[in-house]
Amino acid sequence: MLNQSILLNLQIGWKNFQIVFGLGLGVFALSFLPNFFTGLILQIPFLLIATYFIYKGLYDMFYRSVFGDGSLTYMTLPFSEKDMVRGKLIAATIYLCGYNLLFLGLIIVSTLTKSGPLAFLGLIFSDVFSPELLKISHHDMMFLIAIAAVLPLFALADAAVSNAVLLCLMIQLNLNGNSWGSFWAFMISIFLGCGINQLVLPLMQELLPKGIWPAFLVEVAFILLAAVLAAILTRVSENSLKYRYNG
Amino acid sequence: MKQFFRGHILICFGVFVLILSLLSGAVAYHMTTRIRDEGSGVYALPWSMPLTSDYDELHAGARPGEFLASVYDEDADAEASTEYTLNARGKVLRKKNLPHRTKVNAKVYQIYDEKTSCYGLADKAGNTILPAEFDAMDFFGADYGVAEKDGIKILLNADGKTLLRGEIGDEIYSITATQFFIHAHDNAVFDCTTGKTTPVDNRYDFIWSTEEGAYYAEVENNKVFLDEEFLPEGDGQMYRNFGLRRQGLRYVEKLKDVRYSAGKIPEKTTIEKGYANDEGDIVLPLPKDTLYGFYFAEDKAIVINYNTLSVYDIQGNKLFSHKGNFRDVYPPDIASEDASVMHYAGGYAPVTLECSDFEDFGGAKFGLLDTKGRFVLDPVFDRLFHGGAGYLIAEYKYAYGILDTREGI
Repeated sequence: MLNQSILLNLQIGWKNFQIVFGLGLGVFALSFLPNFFTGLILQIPFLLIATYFIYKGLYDMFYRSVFGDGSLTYMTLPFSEKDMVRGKLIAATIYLCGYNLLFLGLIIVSTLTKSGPLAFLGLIFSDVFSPELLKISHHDMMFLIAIAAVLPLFALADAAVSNAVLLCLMIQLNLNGNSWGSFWAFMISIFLGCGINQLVLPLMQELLPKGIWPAFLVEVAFILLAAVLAAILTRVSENSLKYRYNG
Repeated sequence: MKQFFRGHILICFGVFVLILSLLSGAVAYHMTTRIRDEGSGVYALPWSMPLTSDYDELHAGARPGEFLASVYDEDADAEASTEYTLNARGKVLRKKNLPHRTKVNAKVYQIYDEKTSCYGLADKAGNTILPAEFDAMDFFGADYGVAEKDGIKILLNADGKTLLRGEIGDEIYSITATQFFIHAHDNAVFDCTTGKTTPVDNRYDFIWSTEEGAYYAEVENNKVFLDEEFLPEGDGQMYRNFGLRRQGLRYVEKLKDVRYSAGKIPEKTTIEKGYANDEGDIVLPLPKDTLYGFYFAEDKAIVINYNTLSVYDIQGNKLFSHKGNFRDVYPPDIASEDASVMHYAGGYAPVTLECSDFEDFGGAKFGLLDTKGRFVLDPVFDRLFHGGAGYLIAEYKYAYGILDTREGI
């Protein structure tokens, strides 16, 4: 039933997330404008609108089907609370992770084609990291490649923990009858997500000159911590839904 | 396929993430190995002083085989630095601390007050000659400089004595170390050694001098050579741009049939480009799309247009070309050192094939060209320039080194 629950939630979110992916592709295309900075300015409205549709998509998946006009239909489906919560989380994680991976793909494409944002990012990479790279050992080089290889997992963990926080907060705040619950839940999860990025990425940058493996360790530790946190929050959400449906 | 995807959505997503992981790792492998391979090639070159990030700047010294390296004090303003004189092997011959003050001459230093952001003058012992109360101060040579206070430019000597005080809006520019152009309601040139003021035409926007001692004025973004009385030289031929004169030739962009005496310069003019002889006649014409011709050295000159770098011999034959990208480049100005950046010495010329800015060379990579047009050093250096006596100064990834090319590369 978990598979069915994931598919159902993917369908619920698709209406909004197809716009999000469309806007993401627009950002992708704008990155290859001859003037990188013009592209950067044009990308801002795209990113803001995409954020709005992410909110709408998650709102449909997390709120409307549980508390809103779709909740009665949803309750008649033969899903346990566990399948419901996990289906929602996995579907939302697939969408958000896909959106994050679009930007990782952008870096990969521009690296391989030597155009687009690489002209700018590559310059930073070349200037900031190259002097260190010239001296690093084969051992450290392997860790650096591992950091890059684990980046999609990092994006996955980031999306999973953000969604777990959002769903948990949405359920808790809406159970308490807060009419702005969904909005505040979204805002809190955004700030939390930004806070994590502000903590983890600078920490990795700080550690890089001291050796590649401590940075790799931070990345892996974040993924593990995010997985544990997402599992705990999922359990809390499941229990809360049990309470909502069974009293 | 769709059915399989619907039935195994988690597996499909997992495979997708796995493929992306592999791709991401492969890109990282590609980038790191490329940088390492390039780096190991660079480090294997015949360095007389290996690349080091100990210095913030490295230039050719006053004597052949000597080099000047600077280290800036990050905690202070950029003028606080330590200057090292090095030999070609990087051995420190002399060390000089220039804390918070810039040497004007043997007795006088320019001082800077960090609290007020103002400049003044002090003697070697630190006794104040002029209190630090000027918003800007620039000395041109050992004796004379221009200071600014409350928007007024002041010409002064190293003893702190005011030689000339402008009015608000007046500008004072250095022509040579002792001659200054006063751009005011009535333009003039002031000679600090004689104290003589020579009135000059108000059409002049600037007056500069070239390395070889010729004067020229800028008029409506064009140029005209001047004689020693600061009057247009000869028939007053106007130029859009020109370079330094070497081996009897000078790169010029001549405004056809436009003379200074004719008054306002027409907006639409025909520009003839090429190398001119001492009489000003173009003897080696260049194509219309030429962007700049660097000066002749060892009977060769490097010429760039929007998408090519070519090397010409002194008879005007094109020896070889390389494809490049100089589309967005503003041509170098003769008054800046950029005009001399690409030329042959010892059979080699440091060149860049892609340059966005000839002022700071942001993003440009320099390589070394031999006389047959081969790159003996690939364009991977951030800067590469002649250091004299067969040495090259190279900047690579924030590190400076000295390359010995005397035995060839």
